[in-house]
Amino acid sequence: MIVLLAIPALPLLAALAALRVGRRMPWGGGEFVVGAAALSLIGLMLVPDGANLSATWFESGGFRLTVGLEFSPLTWFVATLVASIALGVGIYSLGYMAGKADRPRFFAELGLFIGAMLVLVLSSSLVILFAAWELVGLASYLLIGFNYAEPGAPQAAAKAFLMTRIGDVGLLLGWLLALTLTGTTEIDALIGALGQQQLAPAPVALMAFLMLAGAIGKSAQLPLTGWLPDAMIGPTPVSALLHSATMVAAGVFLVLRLYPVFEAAPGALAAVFWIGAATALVAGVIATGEMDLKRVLAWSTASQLGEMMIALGLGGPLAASFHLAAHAAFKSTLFLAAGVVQEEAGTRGLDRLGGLIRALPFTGVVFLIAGVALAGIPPLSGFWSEEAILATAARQSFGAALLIVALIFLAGTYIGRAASATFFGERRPDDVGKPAWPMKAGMALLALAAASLGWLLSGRLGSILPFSAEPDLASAWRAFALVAAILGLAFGARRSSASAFGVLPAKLRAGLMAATEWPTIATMRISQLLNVVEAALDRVAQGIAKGSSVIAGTTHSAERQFDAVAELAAGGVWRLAQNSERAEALGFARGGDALAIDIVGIGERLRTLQSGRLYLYTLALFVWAAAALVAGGLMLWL
Amino acid sequence: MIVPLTAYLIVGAILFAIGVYTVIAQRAAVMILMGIEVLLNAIGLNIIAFWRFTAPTDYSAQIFAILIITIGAIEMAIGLALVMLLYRQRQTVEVDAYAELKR
Repeated sequence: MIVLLAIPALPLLAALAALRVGRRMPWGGGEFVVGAAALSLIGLMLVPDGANLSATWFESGGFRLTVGLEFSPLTWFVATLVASIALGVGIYSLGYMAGKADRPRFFAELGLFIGAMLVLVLSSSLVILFAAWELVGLASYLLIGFNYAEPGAPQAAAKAFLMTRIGDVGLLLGWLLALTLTGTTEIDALIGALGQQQLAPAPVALMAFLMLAGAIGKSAQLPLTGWLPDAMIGPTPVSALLHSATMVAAGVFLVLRLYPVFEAAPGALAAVFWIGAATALVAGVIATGEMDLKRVLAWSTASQLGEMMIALGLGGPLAASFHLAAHAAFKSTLFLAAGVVQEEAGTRGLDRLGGLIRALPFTGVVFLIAGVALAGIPPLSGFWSEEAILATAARQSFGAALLIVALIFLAGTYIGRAASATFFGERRPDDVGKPAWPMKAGMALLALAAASLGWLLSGRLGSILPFSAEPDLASAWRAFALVAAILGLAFGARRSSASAFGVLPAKLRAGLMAATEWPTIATMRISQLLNVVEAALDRVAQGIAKGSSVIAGTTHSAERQFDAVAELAAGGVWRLAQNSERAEALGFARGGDALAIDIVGIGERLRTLQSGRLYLYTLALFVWAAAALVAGGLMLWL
Repeated sequence: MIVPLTAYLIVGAILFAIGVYTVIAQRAAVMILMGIEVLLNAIGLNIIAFWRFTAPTDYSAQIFAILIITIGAIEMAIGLALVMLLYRQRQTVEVDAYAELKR
């Protein structure tokens, strides 16, 4: 149980440690984060299946809010993925950040990012999931804006933060709805209630759509895609992490985690498919025309996440989680390699790069391995996962399968183009340095994963995750997809730094970037509308205030008259009191004084009686007794 | 010959007068206590005389007399103890020396 708690806690503690003492460490605090990621990974191997850590946070009315971590096959799988990628990226960052300013802050934010993502993945309660979700958003905001002095970085960070926040509102409303329906925030309780058909279909559908809004925001699906390419301004390890395991994977993970909710709402599942299809297609086309290496990869991420959404929408969560893992491995590798190119060549413009395979042979090979994996060439990971998605699509409909093949072609095109423009052809920047060994080690680790993950997981994933396995793919489709991938690679490589489809991608991008800003603009419009409503309300309030002030005026004058009368009466009473006081002072007081003086005199005289002589007292006693007897006798006699 | 009631009463009155004089006039605490004893005995004599001559069948007067004797004995015991303590404290039994309450 302690190990389960330690898995997400370690990176968070490492973040604190990096912030406190990172300045004095040789790697600037990065060793804490790398160590924590490694320990979390070991912890994930140690924790027994079904481990569960849950407590009631508080109860209010019929609602029970719980906190807890849960260790189920799905959470284990995704958490392992997160920790592994974090480990690779962390090792890479050691070299990447060497000699750069503000290292402790970077590693602290990185640790926060990883820890928050692990909490999100392992959480058994919707409250904790939501809190971690927001923490991931915060950490990504901090990391995208890490080089805050760079022009555009603060804007990009704010854009990412606000755009994902629009989706987060959906998630917030979604889990509040789940709380209302089930009375608890436990995910298992929600899924159990769904399994027993206890919930009405309409609220469940609403909940699915609300959760989907959150997933769209985090996974950069349409219409909330715009933040992802802009986020490229952050440091490259951040992009690698953000695009593979921590940030964008959260959206897909949410749909996977709450898959029964979506299964119970066919409309939401269809929406997942259509949104994923649109995003995958549009982002894929834009990626073929992008001139910035990292932005190509960013659009590719949106496209690949769209593919996962397609798989989810078609009822293939297993294929989606497979592709999530494979994509995390090869996309983080691609980003790390792109980071080396940017660091050593000083630019990431495709038209200013070329022939780098001779200057950076290791990086080039790594990029090519990951790129080929992305394109879906066997035996690398992308081939297996995309085959799984294709199998899901082919089972559903011919059109969907065709769409997947088209996407594979597009993926081949954009990655072939990026690879050929960067690493082949005329050698462009002449003075190219060598990457440090931690960067190479990180890249090697992730490239290994990108190369091997496919056949490692293929066929075995079904026994790990509780989702039904896909049927085998017809060999005709398999060959078709392979041909599409090779054609795409060849086409992209031939186009090199030129746009693959002319001006179409650029136009599409401009349109998309304008369109994706509509939620923001719409929010602004709504707020303006609210301004008008508010002004009207203001006027009403002003009228009420004026009316009440008139009423107050009349009551005021009436009050004043009452006041005058009361003052008169009070004055009279006061004068009366004064007079009686004077009389008292004159009469009673003087009389009392005289009485007191008399009493004092009598006391003085009586005082002499107390002589202290015993015989006098005795005599007085007898005299008094005699007198009393005489008086009594006289009274009796008379 | 029967001694008449008047004779008893005269003896009682004389005893009472002697007691009063002793209490008032004597300065020594022991003597004052003796005076009180005489007073008590005067009263006791009166009670017995009245019982003998007015209600000889009633025992209440005898009980009264026994009570007076008892009280006298106790009074003597406590009084002498007090006087002894006072003597130890002041080295005197003159009651005029005990005048603290006046101040």
